[in-house]
Amino acid sequence: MDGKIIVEVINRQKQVIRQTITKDLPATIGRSCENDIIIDDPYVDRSHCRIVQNEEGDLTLTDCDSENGILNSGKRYETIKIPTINELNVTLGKTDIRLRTSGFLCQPVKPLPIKREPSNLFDIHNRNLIMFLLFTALYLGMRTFLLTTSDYLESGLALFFSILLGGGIWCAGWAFLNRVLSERFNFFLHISLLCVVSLFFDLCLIAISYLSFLVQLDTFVKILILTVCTISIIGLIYSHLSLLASIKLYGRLITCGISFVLIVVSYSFSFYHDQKQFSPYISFDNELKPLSTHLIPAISPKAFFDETRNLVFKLKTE
Amino acid sequence: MLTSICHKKCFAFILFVCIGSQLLVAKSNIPTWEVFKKYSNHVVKIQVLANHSVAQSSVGSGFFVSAKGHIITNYHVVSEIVLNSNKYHGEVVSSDGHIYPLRLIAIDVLHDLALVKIESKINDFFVLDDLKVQQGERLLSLGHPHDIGLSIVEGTYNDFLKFTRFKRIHFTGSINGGMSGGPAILNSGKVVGINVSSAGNQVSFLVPVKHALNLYQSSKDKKEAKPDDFIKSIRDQLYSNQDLYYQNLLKHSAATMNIGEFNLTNQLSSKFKCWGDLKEENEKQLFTLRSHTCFSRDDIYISKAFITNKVEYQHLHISTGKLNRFRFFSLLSKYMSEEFYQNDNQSIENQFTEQRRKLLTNFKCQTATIDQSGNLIRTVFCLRAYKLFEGLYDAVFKTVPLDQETESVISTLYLPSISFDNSQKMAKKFLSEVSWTAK
Repeated sequence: MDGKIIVEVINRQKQVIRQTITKDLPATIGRSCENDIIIDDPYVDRSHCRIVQNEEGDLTLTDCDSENGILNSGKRYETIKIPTINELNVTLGKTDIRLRTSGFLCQPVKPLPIKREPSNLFDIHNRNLIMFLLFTALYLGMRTFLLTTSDYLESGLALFFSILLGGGIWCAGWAFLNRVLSERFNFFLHISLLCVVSLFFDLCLIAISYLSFLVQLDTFVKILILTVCTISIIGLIYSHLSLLASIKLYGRLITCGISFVLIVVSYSFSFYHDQKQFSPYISFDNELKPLSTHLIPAISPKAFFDETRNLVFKLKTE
Repeated sequence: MLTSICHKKCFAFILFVCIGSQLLVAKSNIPTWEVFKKYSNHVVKIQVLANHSVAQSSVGSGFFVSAKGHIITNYHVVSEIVLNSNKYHGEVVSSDGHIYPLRLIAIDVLHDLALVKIESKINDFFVLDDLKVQQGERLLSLGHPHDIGLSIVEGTYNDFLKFTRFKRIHFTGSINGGMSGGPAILNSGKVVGINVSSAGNQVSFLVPVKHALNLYQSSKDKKEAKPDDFIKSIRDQLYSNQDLYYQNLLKHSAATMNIGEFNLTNQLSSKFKCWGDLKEENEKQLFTLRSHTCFSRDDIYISKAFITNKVEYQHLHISTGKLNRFRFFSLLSKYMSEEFYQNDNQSIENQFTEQRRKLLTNFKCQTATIDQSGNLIRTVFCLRAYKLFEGLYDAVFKTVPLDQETESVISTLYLPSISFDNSQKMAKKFLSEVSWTAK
């Protein structure tokens, strides 16, 4: 046997994290330093197994009476043959290793992402936290605007922006928490975060809807808010692209999808609720604003009374 | 107190007992106890009971008008049976304590009258007749006040009310709940009116007998009708009533007046009562409020949760010397959202939400800024439909001129029980009467 044997330690993402090439047989595998191939795993024995060539010339992996043994596809083997034209995947303790003969081309080892240390929650330099707070503020501003406006175009734009911003918040919020708590994508963590955050928003919205009666926003102010929001869209795109670069596409889609569904559900619920509520009182747009009064074109009395005919149809459909 | 005697029986009595004596003329009336004795068996108690219940839910009075058992009472006594026939039924309790099932024959919601019937031969009944009565004549009203037993109340006839379209007799006697539907008669036993409502302190109202006579004559041969027919009948009565009423108002050119810079509708017609007030809000006297509120007095009772037909309008003039444009417009917005016409009905609104939900939809509104010959006016037109009575709506029309920076007037017109076409015509007329001299 003239070939070399390549032993690779693989992580769960099937990435090679360490590669050892051995020529001398038999080669020993285990936790202790005397071994040819050292595996840092408490579930691997000091001297776990060894690679030997048997009488027929085949290369085999043989167990050295280890506690956890050699597992291949969940089955324990005393001795397992290393194929010459294929690779052998086995589990030693809790570590996956791959064994190949030199007939194979070597796969280049990808560098691992740098492991980040959990950062301080209140670190002012935490970019994700700042993004999160910024989007939260903008989102709430948008929703306030939506509550105080009555113009279709304005509310349509506001809804559009709030959905975008809402998506941004979930993403930035997730990225922030992800960095603080864990390096890995955790679906359940993500979902529970969404629930907490949406609950928080709805509480804020209730407070804002009461406060908004005190605030008389003029069209001018609304245009100002819209401009600020447009600028923030650039930040939003940045958040989507860079903060979430480590999440897979489906993660991003789920994030945006859930935020979209949450917003749509909350709107349709409030709309439905308003429609169903029996009220003897008139609800109409009573906001008289000196600036918008001159911006919105006036119509003729005839046109106005023609439009009122729609009311009869609306009432009939109720 | 009562000197003019105008019927023969009484006059004969006077001639016989005390001829030529001025003092004794006053005593010449038939004593009340005698009238009571003679006519008490003409009057019945009408009780409305919830189905599967033996206890009454409301009580009123009524009186026989034919030998076949026809009884005249108020519509509002039996309204629950008409509108909720699956939940309520009625009973007639005669003076001797017999209980008969009540059969509804016909109703007249405009005059608050109903013709009902029992299946029994009646010997003692009033013969209805349209008659002229002098102001000041003695009337005796019979009924069951608060269900404490048949009572007789003495009072005087005080002619018709001047401001109502549906004629009501002003009766100076005390009518109480439960007496509704009972007769108010002369000593001779002639019915003058039907007890209907009270304003307290001996100010009570009667429906003139003429309407009861019309109802009886037009419906005496009818059989018991189905509840749906009554709903349709109420709808038709309301519809033709509003047509007539609003057409008249539209023909009438309303009197106008000036408040500040504005020229506004004063009285839509002479039947409207108007009240004005002036307020200087808060200590700093930032602005002045002048209100001018007018209303008609033509209530139509549909159910205890729903009284309609009272047209109201208000001009709320707001002027300021101290507020800037933004604050002034903000103030206008606040007053614009207030609903003045609801104040009267506030307790009804709160008490009977469920019942009203069955009768009315929510308001739907159309808002726009309109340009009326160069003047900018914010207008709001709101409608709610009557669910049971097709084609009828409550309409609210608001106008707020927006050209002036220091004064404006919020005008609100409330048109209950109106067809869509008429509501538009009324709103157009109301709008056309708003004008002002631009600064």
